[in-house]
Amino acid sequence: MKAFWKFFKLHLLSDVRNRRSIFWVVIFPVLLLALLILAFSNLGTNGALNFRIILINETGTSGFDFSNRIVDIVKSMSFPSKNAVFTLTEMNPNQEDSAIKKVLYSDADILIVIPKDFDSSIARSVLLSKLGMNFSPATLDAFYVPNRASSSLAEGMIEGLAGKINAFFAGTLGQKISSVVVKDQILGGIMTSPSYTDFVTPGILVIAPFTTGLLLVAPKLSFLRSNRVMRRYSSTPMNPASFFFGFTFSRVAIMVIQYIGLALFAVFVMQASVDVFSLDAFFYYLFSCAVYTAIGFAVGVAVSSAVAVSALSSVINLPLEFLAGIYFPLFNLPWYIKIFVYANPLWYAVNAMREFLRVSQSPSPMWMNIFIPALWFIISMSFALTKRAAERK
Amino acid sequence: MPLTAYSSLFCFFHATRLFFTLHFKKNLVYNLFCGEDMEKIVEVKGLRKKYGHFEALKGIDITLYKGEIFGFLGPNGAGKTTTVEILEGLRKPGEGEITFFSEKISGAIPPYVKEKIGVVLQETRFLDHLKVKEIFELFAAFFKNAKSPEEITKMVQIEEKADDYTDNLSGGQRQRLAIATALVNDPEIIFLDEPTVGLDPQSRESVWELIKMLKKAGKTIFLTTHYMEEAQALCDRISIIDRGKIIVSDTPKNLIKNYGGKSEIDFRCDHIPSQSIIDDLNLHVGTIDDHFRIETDNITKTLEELVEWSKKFNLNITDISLVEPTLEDVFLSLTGRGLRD
Repeated sequence: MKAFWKFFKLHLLSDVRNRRSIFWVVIFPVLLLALLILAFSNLGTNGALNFRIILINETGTSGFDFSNRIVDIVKSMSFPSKNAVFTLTEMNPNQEDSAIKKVLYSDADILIVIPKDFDSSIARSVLLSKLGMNFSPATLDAFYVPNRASSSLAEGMIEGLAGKINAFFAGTLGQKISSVVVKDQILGGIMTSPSYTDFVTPGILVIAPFTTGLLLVAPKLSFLRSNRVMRRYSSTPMNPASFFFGFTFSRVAIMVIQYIGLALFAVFVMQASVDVFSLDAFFYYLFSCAVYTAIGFAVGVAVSSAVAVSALSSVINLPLEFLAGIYFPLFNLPWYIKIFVYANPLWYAVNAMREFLRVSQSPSPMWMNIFIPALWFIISMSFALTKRAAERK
Repeated sequence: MPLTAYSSLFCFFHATRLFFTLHFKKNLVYNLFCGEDMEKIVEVKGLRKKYGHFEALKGIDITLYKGEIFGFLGPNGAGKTTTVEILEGLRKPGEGEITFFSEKISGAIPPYVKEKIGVVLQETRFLDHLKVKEIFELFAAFFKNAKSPEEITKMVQIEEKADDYTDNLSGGQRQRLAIATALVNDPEIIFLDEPTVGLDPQSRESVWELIKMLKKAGKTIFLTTHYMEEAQALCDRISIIDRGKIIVSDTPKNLIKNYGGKSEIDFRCDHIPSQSIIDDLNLHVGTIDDHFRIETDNITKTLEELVEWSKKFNLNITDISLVEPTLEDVFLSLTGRGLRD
């Protein structure tokens, strides 16, 4: 225990006294957060070229084919048509639950359900309007996640589509009425559409400890190994666990300081309206710290020279950081990039943190947000420990 | 035999033993009389170690006696580092028997043995941005019984640096600090791995003084070095390892005497004598340009002959130097290659 505390205290002191470490670990993330918010807080959510849409037509054979006309219109706007804005998947009415999950977990952007009484509602509304009586327009149910940019944009497209349908009826029936309206079915709980400040804050809270894992674990470990400091420790009777936990906890302590600093800065300076005091978020943050420390251990053990550690850290850091949806929402990615996104622990961490900080619903199930990073932890730690054991044989 | 005769023999034996103990510690006779009685600190028998198919150690034997400085020499790849790392507890041994402080060790060196050993690695670095006293605090935390930092800094004469950051220490001071960290637990044996590599002559001299002081304090020292003059100056006994085997063990003096070859007297005369005059010297004389070189087993006698010869032929010897064999020559004669090859 004595050795553990000494390791903890002195490794922490060693970094706290190092101005370069302090800049990269504490000041840089704060600057990054401020810069991103100042630069992109007015950024719109446009930019999507294609939306994944699921269509369920619940209408049976009713003698009217309004619903089929709608299906045709959507098809005409979908692949493989020219200038397609949708990628359409048609599903059966009994698959509605599965379709909702697909939208919730980012496998689709929106689900449109044409209700059973759609055709008769249209017919009734046309008839009643001809008679000059009040009527209720037919509804199209749109299931979407308002906090996800692609989903929100897709909903906008469907609103536009409803306008087109009404224009079609106006043209064919000679009536300027709204026969069809889109009824929004919000998925993922009701959360207000996040500002860029709220959107980016959880991302920075994820990337900061990740960078610390790579900057303060891997190079430090590499230094300790290449300069034989580890060997010197090993020649003493101290328990290797004292070193391991003392060193690890000193890193985690720095990451906790990061969390507090960033959270306070985001809330009180940048006016972010995220729930930084959420216990769930904090515990998930601690879990993430363990994962990133393990990745740092693996990098530090994989190579021994400082240059190699720096190169390997960059190779790992850049793709993981940019394929995590930290700075901008990720959608419309080709399948081969999606593979990297789905394997990226940062993507899951950002998703989980956004949900815990009450920014937006996680597009990935919460168990995946824990399972995939945990897998990274197990693989990284196994690699690091196996390699160290092999070195000592 | 009368009792007085027994008493006399007994007294004679112990008086002789005391004499050799005090005056001829490095002599073989010392081992003959006293060797068996000396306390063995470490004993290694038939130590083997394999890395895959490569056999790094092919059954080596080493004995360290209390209070001696034992030199372990060998070229790169000879198995020196593997041996030292096994004894320091950094690697697991293969086959063989290791005894520390009269206790047989099976497997890796256990923590209770590590409590009694100190280790100084080559060109030791410490964590950056820490003070000297903090480094001591860290190492003191590893041992059950640790000395106070003040006591140790005073011993290695870096007490005025206790509040300095280790990054600001000179090479010599850093090495003294490394040695000091090895003394935190007041060890019985200290492993010094190339302790003066990269140091300037002054710093090297100061580290030598420190090592001599540790010997005086009764510590047993296991020294690995590439510097032959260091081994000659400091070590009581030396083992030379090559290709995983110990090829010779003895005192430096005996090694040089037995394997180092002859001493050489190199001289030059004011004018080059004729061949008949040189032949008159009756010694094997070689020439290099205008220099003459005589190999000899008895320097004094040869010098006397040389002086007589110069007088006889009215020659003035202008330059004269003595080239004595070194441990480098010992290694060359035993292995056919240099220690640094």
